[in-house]
Amino acid sequence: MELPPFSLEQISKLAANNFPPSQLFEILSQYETDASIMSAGSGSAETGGGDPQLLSLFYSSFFFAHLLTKQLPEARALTQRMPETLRHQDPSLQNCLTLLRALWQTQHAQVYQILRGLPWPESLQPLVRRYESFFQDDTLIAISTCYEAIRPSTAANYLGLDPQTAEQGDSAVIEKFTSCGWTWDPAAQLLHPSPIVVQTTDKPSSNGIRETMAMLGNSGK
Amino acid sequence: MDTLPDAFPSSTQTRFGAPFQSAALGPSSQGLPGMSENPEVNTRIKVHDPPKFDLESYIANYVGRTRFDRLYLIGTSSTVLSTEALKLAVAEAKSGKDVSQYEKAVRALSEVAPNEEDASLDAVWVHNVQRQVQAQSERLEQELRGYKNNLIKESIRMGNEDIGNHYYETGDLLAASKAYTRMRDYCTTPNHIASMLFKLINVSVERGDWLAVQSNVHRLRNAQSKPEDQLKNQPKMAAALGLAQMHSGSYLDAANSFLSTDVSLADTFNEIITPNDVAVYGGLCAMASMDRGDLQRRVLENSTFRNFLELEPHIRRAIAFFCNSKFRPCLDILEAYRTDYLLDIHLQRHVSELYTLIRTKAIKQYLVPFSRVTLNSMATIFAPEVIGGEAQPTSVSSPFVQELIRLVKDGVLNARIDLEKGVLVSNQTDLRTDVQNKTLESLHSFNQEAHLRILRASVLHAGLEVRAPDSERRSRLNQGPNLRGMGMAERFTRGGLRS
Amino acid sequence: MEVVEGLMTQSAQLREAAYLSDQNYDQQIRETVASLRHVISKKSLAAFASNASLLDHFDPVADSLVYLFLLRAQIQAFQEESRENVPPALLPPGNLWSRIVTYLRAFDPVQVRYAGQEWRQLVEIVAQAAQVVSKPILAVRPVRDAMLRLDPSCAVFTSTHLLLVRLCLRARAYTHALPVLDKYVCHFPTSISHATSKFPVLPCAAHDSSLSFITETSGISSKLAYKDYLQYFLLGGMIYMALKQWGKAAHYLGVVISMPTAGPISMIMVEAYKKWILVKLLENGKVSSPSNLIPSHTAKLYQSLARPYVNLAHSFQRGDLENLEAEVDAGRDIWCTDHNMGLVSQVLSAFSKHTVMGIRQTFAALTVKELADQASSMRMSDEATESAIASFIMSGAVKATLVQHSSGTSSTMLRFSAARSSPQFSDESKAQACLARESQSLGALMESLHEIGHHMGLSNEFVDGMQRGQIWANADDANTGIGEDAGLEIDEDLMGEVP
Repeated sequence: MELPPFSLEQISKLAANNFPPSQLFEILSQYETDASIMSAGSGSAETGGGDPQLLSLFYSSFFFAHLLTKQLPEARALTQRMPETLRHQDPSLQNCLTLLRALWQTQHAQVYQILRGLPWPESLQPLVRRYESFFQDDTLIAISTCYEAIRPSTAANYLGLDPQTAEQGDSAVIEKFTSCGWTWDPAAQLLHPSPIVVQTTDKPSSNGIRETMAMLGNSGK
Repeated sequence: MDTLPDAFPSSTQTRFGAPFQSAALGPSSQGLPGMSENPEVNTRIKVHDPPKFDLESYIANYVGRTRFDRLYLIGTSSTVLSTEALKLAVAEAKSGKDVSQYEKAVRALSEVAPNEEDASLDAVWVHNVQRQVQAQSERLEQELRGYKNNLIKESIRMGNEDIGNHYYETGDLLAASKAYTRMRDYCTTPNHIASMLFKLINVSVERGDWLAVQSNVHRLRNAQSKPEDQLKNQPKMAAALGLAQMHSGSYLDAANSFLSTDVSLADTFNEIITPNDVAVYGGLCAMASMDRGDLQRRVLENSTFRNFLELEPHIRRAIAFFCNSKFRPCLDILEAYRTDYLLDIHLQRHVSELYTLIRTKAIKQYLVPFSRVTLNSMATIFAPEVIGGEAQPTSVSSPFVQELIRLVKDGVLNARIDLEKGVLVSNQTDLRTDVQNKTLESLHSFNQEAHLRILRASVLHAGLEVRAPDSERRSRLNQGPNLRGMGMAERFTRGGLRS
Repeated sequence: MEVVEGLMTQSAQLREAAYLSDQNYDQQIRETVASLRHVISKKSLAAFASNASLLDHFDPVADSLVYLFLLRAQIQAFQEESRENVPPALLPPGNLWSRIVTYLRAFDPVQVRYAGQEWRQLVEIVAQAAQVVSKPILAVRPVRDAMLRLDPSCAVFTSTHLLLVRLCLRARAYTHALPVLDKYVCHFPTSISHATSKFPVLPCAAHDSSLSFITETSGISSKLAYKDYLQYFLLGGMIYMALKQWGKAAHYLGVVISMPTAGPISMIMVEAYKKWILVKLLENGKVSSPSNLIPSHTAKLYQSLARPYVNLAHSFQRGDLENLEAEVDAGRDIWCTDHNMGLVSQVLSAFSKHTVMGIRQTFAALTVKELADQASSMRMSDEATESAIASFIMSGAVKATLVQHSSGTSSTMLRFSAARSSPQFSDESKAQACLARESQSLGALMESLHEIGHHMGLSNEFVDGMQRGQIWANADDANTGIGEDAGLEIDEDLMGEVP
C-alpha cells in the first residue's frame, strides 16, 4: 500500500479523520520512517532537522494513536524515539510527556486537566478530544465493574466531572450515570453501578476446552 | 542381635549425671547439679491453679526414682503445692542414696520455704552417704575385677549389673547405662538380654534419651524370647515406645503404641508409667492426631483400650464429645485438666501443642458441614471468653479472629473471613471457571516446557551447547573455510552494530 | 548493454521455469544463481554499477534474483570506491537505500532461498546504514518484514533474529519485534546431508518446515555460536520486559537459563537468571523453581552467583517490606552495575499489589482501613489506599469490588467474593481466546517436535531423554559474552507507579 507523501496536510487529515484506532496507528507507524529520515536531515541548529511543525504534529498524533490502542509502555518508548531537541522544546510534545506521566500514575483528575486545560495545537485537537472521550468511556467501564456502590463525587472525579456539583446530587450529573444503567439511591446518596460489558467479536466455541484437553492429552505420543 | 552403642549422646543429658570419669571418683563433685540446673530454671513452667489430684495418693502410684522426679517437678512448677511436694521430695531423697537429688530438693525447698526444717542441708547425712557410696563403688569395682580374672561369664554379668544398679540408685545415670551396656557380652539367655534391655530403657527414660528408648524397644522386639515372655513384655514395650514417640512429637505413632498396650500392664511398669498415664497420654495423642472416624473406631470401640479409659473417664468423655461434634464440652473438659497435665513429668512440655492441635482439629471439624458460619456462633463455641470480654467480639482485633486469620494463612482452614458480614466463608470453587483456568494453565506450561525441550534437543543436535571459550574457538576453527567465506557479513552481525 | 539484455533473458527464463516441476525449477534457479555469482565476481558489471538507472530495467518482484545481484554489485562498487563498508551513497534517505528497502519488502521468497548469503548481506547492510545515521528505527521494519517474508514461521534461528532484537532495543521500538518474538524459535540451521541423504531436498518446493531450506550452507544465517541464541533470548526477554509482558519475558529468560552446557555456564545465562528472578516476582509475586531441565548443580551455581537477587526475592515472598527495602538499598550498586535498577524499583512498587492479592487468600471482605492495618506496606491515607486498590482492580490484577458508603468517614468495603455476572462472562470469553491461542502454539510446537524427530531419525522419547545426557558444568571461568550488548538496556522506571 503506497501512502501519500509525508506532509503537514496529510498528518492533519489523519488526525482529523475518524479512522479506527488500530488503522490510524498502522498508518502513522509507517510514516515514522519518513519522520526519522526528516529529523536526521539538515535543519536549523535550534530545532534539529526537518520541519519542526510537521514533526511535532506527527509525533503527537502518533503518541495519541498509541493511547487510543492502549499501548502505554510503547507510547513511553515513542517519547524516547522523538528527536531529542524537539522533545525538549516543543510545547505539544511536552504536553504529551506530562499526560504520559499522569496516565502512568493513574491520576484521573490530572489526565482530564491536561487534556482540557493545556494548550494543544489546533490540528491535534480532534485527537485530543477523541482521546478524552475514549479515556472517559474506558474509565466508566472500569468503574462500573470495580465499584458496587460509589459516591457521586468519587465517580465524578474519575470521569472528569465537577465533584462539587456531583456531591450536591445535581440531577444533570446523576443523569449521566443513570443513563448507562446505573441506579441512584437518593436516600443513601449513592450510585450503584451496573457492569458495562463490551461485546467481544470472538465467538466463544462451547466445546473449546474439551477439544483443547483432548489435544493436550494426545500430544507427545 | 544388634550391636549396642557404646556411647550415648550426652549433650542434653548433663543434668542427669556427671560424666563417667568424674562420677567414678565418687558422686561428691557437688557443683554439677546446680551448674546444669540454671538454664532449666528460666524455662520452668509455673502453674498457679490447684490440680484435681491428691498429691499423696498420686505419688503412691509410682515406685523408684520417678517418685522423686515427679515430686520435684510438681514442687518447682506448682505454686500451690510447692512446699508440700518439695518436702516429700526431700524425704524421698533422704530415703535413698542419691546425694545430688537430696541437695537439689533442699535447694528448691529453701527457695520457696526457707523456714522449713527440711530446708537446710543435713551435712552429716550427706557426708555419711557419700562415704558409704564411695566405699560401695570401690568394693563393687574391685569385685568385678576379680570376676574378670576368673573369666566366669555369669559372675561378670552380675557384677556389671550390681555396679549398674548401684550407680542408678546413687544418681550416676551415665555410668549406670554404661555398666548395663557392658552386660551384653555376658548374657547367655534371652531372659538375661530382656532384663538388661529393660534396665537400659529405664535409665534412658530417666535421662530423656528417647532415641535410646526406641532403639532398645526395637532390640527387645528382635530378641529371641520365648512367646510367653514376649507376651509378658509387650505392654511395657508398647508403653515405653509410646512415651518415646510422644516426646519426639510423633503423636499419631504414640497414640498407636498406647492403643496397642495390653491391659496386663497394670502396675508392672510403675517405675515409669501407670495405666492411668497410658489412658491420658494415649487419649490426648489420639485426639490430636486422628480424625473423627478413627477416634470412634480405634479408640472408643477398642476393647483393650477401653479398660484404660475406664480409669480416666473424663478422657473418654472428651473423646466421645469430639466424635459427636460437641466441641465446647470437649474443650471444657480438657481445659479443666490442663493444670493436672502441666504437672505431669511427661506431659508438661506437650500440653500446649497437643491442646492446640485438638482445638484446631475441632475448628476444622466444626466448619465441615457449613458453607458459611457467623464468627459470632463460632466464638461462642471456641472463644466464649471473647464474647463476654471484648467490645466487638468479631472485629479484626479480637484474639479469636486473629487466631482464625492465622489458621487461614497457614492453610489449615480452607475458608476466608468476611469482616463485612462477620462470617467465615468456605472456599467454593466455581467449577466452570476452575476447569477453564486449569486447562489454560496446564496447556500454557505444557507449551513452554515443550518449547524448552525442543530447543534443547535442537541445540544439542546442532552442536551449539554452551561451552568453554577455548573449545568454542576450536570448534569454530574446524569450520574455518565456511566462516571466512562470509567475512563481511560476519563483521556486520557481530561488530557492526556497536554504536 | 548486452550484459543487461543477457540478464533480462535469464530472468525471463526463470519466470517461466516457475511453472515447471520442482526439479526443473530447482535446477534453473541453481544455474541462474551460479551464473549471477560468476558475473558479479568478474566485475563485468562494474561499468554500470554506479549507474542508478540500471535497476530501472528490472522489477524487484519479477526479476527477484537478478535485482538482488545487481543491488549487490552496486553496493560492492560503492564500497570499493569509498573504501568504506557503508559508503555514503547507501545511507538513507538515498536512492539506493530506498531501492534496497523496497526490495526487502517485495522479493520472491522462494528464489531468494538459493541466494541466502546475498540476501543476508543486504539485510545486514540496511541495519548498518541505519546505525551509521543513528536512526536504527529505519532498519527495524525492513529487517523484520524481510525475515517474515523469507520464513513466515521464523522457527529456524538465524543471525538475523539477533540482528532484529538488537535493532529494536537500540531503536526503543519494542512492539515492532513482536511479530517475530511471538513465534517459537525451535530449530537451528543444520547440515542437511546426513538427515535426508536419500532424497535431495529441493529448497524451492513447498515445505512444512523452513528447516528444509534454512541450512548451514544456505547462507541465510551466518555461522552461529551459542552466544548468538543466548543473546537473542536474553534481549528478546528484555523487549518483553520493556512492554511489561512479564509472562513472556520470563519464558524467554527461562530459555536462556536452561540451555544445555558442555562446560562452564555463560555469563549471559547468569545475567538472564538475575533478570528471571525479578521478572518472576513481577509476574506472580513469587519465584517458582526454574525448569527441571536445569541440572541441580547448575541451579545451585546460579543461586550462589545471584545471591543478592535470591535474598531480595525471599524478602518479597515473606511479605516483609522493611526487609525488602533494606535489601534494595543495600544492593543499589549491584542493581546499577547489572543494569537492573529499573526492574528492582518496579519490583518494589509491585509489592503492595501483591500484598492485596495475598489478602484475598485470607479475607472475603474487609474495609480498606482493616486492609491497611493488615498490610504494613499500605502506609498512606485511606483515600490514597482506596484509589491504589481501585487501580489494581481496574488493571485486572486484583479481582474484587469496592463498596463506598454515603459518608466519606466510614471506610470503603473491599469485597473479594463478588460474583457479578457480566465480568465473569467477559472473563470466560477472554479465557476462550487464550485457549485458542495456546492451542495454536501447541499445534506449531507439535509440528516442530515432529520435525526434530524426522531430522534426527529419532523418536520423541529422545527429546524427553535429552536432559539425562547432561555433562557436568561449572563456572570457574564463566564466559563473558555480554560485552557487546553492555549498553543495551530498557530504561529505568523513574516515573513511579501508582502513588
